Amino acid sequence: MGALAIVMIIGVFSRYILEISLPWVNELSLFLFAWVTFLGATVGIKNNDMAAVRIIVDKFSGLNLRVINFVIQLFILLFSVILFYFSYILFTSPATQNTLAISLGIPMWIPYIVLPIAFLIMILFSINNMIEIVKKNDKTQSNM
Amino acid sequence: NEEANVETVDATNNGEQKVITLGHVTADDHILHLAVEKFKEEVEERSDGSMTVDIYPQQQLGGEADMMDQLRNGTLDMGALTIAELTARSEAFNAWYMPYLLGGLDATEEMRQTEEADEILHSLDDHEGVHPLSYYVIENRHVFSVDEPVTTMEDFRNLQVRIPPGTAIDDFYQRLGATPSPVEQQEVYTSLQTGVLEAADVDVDAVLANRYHEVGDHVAMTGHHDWVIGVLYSQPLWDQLTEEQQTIVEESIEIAAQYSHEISGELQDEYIERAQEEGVEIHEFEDMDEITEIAEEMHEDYATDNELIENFIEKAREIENH
Amino acid sequence: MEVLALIGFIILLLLGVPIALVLGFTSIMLILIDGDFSMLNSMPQMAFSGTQNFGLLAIPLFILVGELMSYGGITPRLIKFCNEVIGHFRGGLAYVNVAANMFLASILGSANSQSAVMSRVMVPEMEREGYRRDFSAGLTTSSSLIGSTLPPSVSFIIFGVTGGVSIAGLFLAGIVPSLLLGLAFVIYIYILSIKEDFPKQDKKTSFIQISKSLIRIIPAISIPFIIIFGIISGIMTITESAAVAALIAFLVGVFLYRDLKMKDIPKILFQTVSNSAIVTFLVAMASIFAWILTKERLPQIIGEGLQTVTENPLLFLLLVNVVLLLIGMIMEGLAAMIILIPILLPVAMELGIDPLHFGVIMVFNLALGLLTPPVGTALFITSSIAKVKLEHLIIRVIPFLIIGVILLILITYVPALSTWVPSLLE
Ligand code: NA
Ligand code: NA
Repeated sequence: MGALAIVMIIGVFSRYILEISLPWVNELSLFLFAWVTFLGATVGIKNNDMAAVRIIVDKFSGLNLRVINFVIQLFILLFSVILFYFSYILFTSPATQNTLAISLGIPMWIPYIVLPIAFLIMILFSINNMIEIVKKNDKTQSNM
Repeated sequence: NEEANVETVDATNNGEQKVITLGHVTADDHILHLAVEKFKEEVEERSDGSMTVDIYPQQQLGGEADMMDQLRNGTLDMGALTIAELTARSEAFNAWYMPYLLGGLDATEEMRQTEEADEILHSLDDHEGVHPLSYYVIENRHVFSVDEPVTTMEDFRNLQVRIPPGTAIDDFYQRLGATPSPVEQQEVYTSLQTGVLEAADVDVDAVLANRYHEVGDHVAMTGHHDWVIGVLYSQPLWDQLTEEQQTIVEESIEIAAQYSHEISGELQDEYIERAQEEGVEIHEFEDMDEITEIAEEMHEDYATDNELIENFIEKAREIENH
Repeated sequence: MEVLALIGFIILLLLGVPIALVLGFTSIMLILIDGDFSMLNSMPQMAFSGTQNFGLLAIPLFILVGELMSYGGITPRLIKFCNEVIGHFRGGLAYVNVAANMFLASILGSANSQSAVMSRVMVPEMEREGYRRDFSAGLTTSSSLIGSTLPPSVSFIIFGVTGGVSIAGLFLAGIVPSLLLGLAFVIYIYILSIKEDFPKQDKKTSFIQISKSLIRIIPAISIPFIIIFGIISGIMTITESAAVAALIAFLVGVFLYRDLKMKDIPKILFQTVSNSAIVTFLVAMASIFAWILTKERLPQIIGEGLQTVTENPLLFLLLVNVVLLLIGMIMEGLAAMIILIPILLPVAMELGIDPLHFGVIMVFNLALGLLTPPVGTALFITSSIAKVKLEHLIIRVIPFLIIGVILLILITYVPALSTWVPSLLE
């Protein structure tokens, strides 16, 4: 994010102060932005603060709530696995490996690698969340 | 037009039917769209209605990079893609961006049919998963500007101009001393209105379709190159077609390509007239000698870097000289 | 068959699965129903290219501005200044609340971040001066609404990117409706201040003191002017102006106010990344969803269905408003917008409604959803920060909500309120 802000500011200044346009600035900031989006989303998965409709779920408590939360994590896991699989295919395909970015001239697998990485992290976080939910369950039971 | 689309959707329920989905990025009254409509008409007629074409204009299925991906995966049958996208896949396509190489639509149409042009079309690697079919020659490109017409070399200096993405076109405007930027299509109108942009690389069709005439007044007829479209078929889906179907597609593409050339000259004049009615002033570009000199330097540089471009340029000069 | 996907969509949504993933799952269901499995291959590409938009890039930058400002000590200075200028009227602090909210609205991109910042500072301040806490909290939540429609606005960026409409145009279109909303609140406060005999401060602040405070906040309040003048004069794009605003907020926080510490920076950047990803990841998933809807020609079918219900634009807008108010009750406005724009905007344009006008209606309407129970994020934020029971807060918010709905009707049926400012530039 810091890199993104700095690149953008360099872009604006080169254009207005130095009066030169740097086409790579636009491209680089968009690639960084993709990284911010997908890696940032993994944080949202980890902390459970992605936008969701919680109106019905919040009526539940105790074991029922834990079951629902577990099912939600299961869906996240399933989705991440599917997307990881197809992201990995996209990332390894020769069309991605051999295409060059227009301005930066770097191979397109560099920006695209964020997809398999992010979905892999989501897989790990959702598994971790499931373990947490189950653990909490055990704890409350042993307290009883 | 819309009714026809609904009919095609209904036709998919019919087991025998082959539906070809075709995507492109321009508006549905652009010459490109008219050309693919001609293609649709031909395919449907030649196959006695057993093949239909479903057209998705205006990036409805995503941008051009997305369509390339869909062609490769076999989720899209056909794409009519700009040279801009294709240069990212094979730099030889920059040949079509060479300014002042071909002197007008007729020469470009002749160039389209050469082996040299075909070689560039097939320089797309196999791993792109596309079966290249042909080119469509669309329209001459000019410079639209808001306040002042761009009629001299001096007018290009520090000109904030919108260009389609692509190395060679960016390079050309840089060499002219302008400040080119690939602003997104939907922001061009407002950017011209507010002055973020002073000018845009356009065909006159686009001026009308995007209502640029509401925010600016001038088109300088630089005619620096012709707008060429690559027509590609998805390789996995191409392999599923019967030989007969492949022939129908190939023949229809060629007829549509010729049709595109036939109408483009005439329509281009009509668009210019309509633009003038909308208050756009049409200007000649004065420093033709200087601009073509810069263009020629550019030809040399690109020819040195790429053999396919070198052959293309040689062939183009041949066409120009006879 | 598509009905199955719709049922699945609703179940997942109500189950509480993150909306971004609900969109992804619904896409997968539609692909499975369609039977063209090769479409699964294109999902990651569509998600990636959904982020490759220069307009969208303004979102993390504006969120960064907000984070820098909340650490940079600008809000208390802003409130102090407003208080010095208008605090001595009857109900002074109530006006200060609206005024400071308008200033903040023109710097921050979202109403939620605004209600968080303002509840923390404004509610205790008003209570100290003798206002009832529930009223103070109600006013603070309601005034934060202005943040959605006054530029910069994350909602407008999303509308522009999703609908292919000019973001700069939308920013300009939102100005008059936002000012009207502020004005309507001021009038309501005026009436209330007489009826309920609001407190006023005795001392008037000296002109010199006001000038001093003004000089201190000039760099901060220059940010909205940079954005607006950037758009109007054409010096910068919105995304570039967001980058400049972030730089100013950083410099002001570090060197002028010295409240912003270097050790806070990693935390600020991390929060910016995770907060903006919540929105932009939704956009990425929605672009898969929109692609599949288009391939299945669903927007066209739904649109035709809508048009058989009504071909009258006025009636259509009424319908849209009622539906959006209902959706806004249970769903985050941005998510609702991302799902509904591809369906509603083409119909609106077909009926001859200006896309800028439609954008203002949609954003304004869904902003009201921040205040409507059972799910009103601004309500929740203020209720927890200001420690006011939700039901007490809701009662105090209702009059503001009514004002909002009246204004919504006005905006809906007087298109010029939205289209006038953008048209001035021609
Ligand atoms: Na705002
Ligand atoms: Na609500």
